[in-house]
Amino acid sequence: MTTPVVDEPDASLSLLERLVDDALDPGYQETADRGEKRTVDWRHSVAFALAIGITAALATAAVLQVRAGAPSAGQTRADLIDRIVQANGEVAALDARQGNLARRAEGLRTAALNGTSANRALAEEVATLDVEVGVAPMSGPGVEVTLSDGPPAPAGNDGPDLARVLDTDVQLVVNGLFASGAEAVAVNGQRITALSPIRSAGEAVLVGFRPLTPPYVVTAVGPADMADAFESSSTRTELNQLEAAYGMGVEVTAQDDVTVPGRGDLQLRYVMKEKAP
Amino acid sequence: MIAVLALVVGIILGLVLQPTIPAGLQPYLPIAVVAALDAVFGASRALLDGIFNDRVFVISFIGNVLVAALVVFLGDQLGVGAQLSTGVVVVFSIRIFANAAAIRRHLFHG
Repeated sequence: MTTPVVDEPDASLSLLERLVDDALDPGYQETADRGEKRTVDWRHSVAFALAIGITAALATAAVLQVRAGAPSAGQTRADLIDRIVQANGEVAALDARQGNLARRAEGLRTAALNGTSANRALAEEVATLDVEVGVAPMSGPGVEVTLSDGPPAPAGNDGPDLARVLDTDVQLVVNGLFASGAEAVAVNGQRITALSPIRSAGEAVLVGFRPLTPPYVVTAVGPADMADAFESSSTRTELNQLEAAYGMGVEVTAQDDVTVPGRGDLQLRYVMKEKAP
Repeated sequence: MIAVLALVVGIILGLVLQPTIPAGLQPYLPIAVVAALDAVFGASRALLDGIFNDRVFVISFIGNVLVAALVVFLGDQLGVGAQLSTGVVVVFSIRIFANAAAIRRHLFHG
């Protein structure tokens, strides 16, 4: 069966129709019409087989190439995640080592400041300062405030996600707790000291330069009536507004016994020589 | 029969040798494959039509691949490589479908 050659001018105007009608290379029909050899000899088969072989090899190479290239994005992502997990593990190990060393230094200091009453007074002062500066962990009655992101904005909304907990919201709670009489405050286990900034980088909230992930749990140790003081403070009113306006989750619970970890990585920045007695 | 054998040998060769295509030629590889496929489908149909001619086939095979690569190369230089690639693929796909339909008619109507 041969494809009928369409001669009508109307039909030949149609690009697609011509494409379909000329699907077979016209050269075949022309050589056949000229009466060239139509014998089927072994060379036909070899040429045909060679062409199919080359095509198959080319197609296979192309497929392999695409498959080798495609997962590279996912591979990069997985590699990055691996590195983050590994680095987090290293940080945790160093944190633990630092804690051990700090406890050892404290023990040595206590041992060294034993004996005379002057030394004991010094030891007491050091202990008090440790709590105030935020080196020593503290536990006791307190309050736990949990801040969680509100429902995400509907898709297609380009504006900032207002339901997200921002650094200013965490600052508000921390400051409110201190105003209500808290002695020590930590956010997600990061002790707040005089040198702990609460800020944001991109979409993450950083406390003491450590990125935290929501929900943000603010723990505070303080007097027993701190929860009541906080609940009736202006901070709580502001949080209520955030809750009502953006659906942000705010949960305040009084705790009988909470522990706020110490911050070990304080650096000695300023040393003054005491006047000789 | 021999075609199927060649297909299998070609795939195995491609898998075993794992030819690495130079980065500069990579954009033309899919186009070359589609062009070669078109020539092979055309040849199969001509074989069934009884008008197969090895000279025409070799010329159409090499010509298809080279012209398709040249068109895409020119398109790349002119900044419309992606569009021209699409055009080449559409034209060859339509021809492949038409030839495949003709081959199917041959096989089912004797």
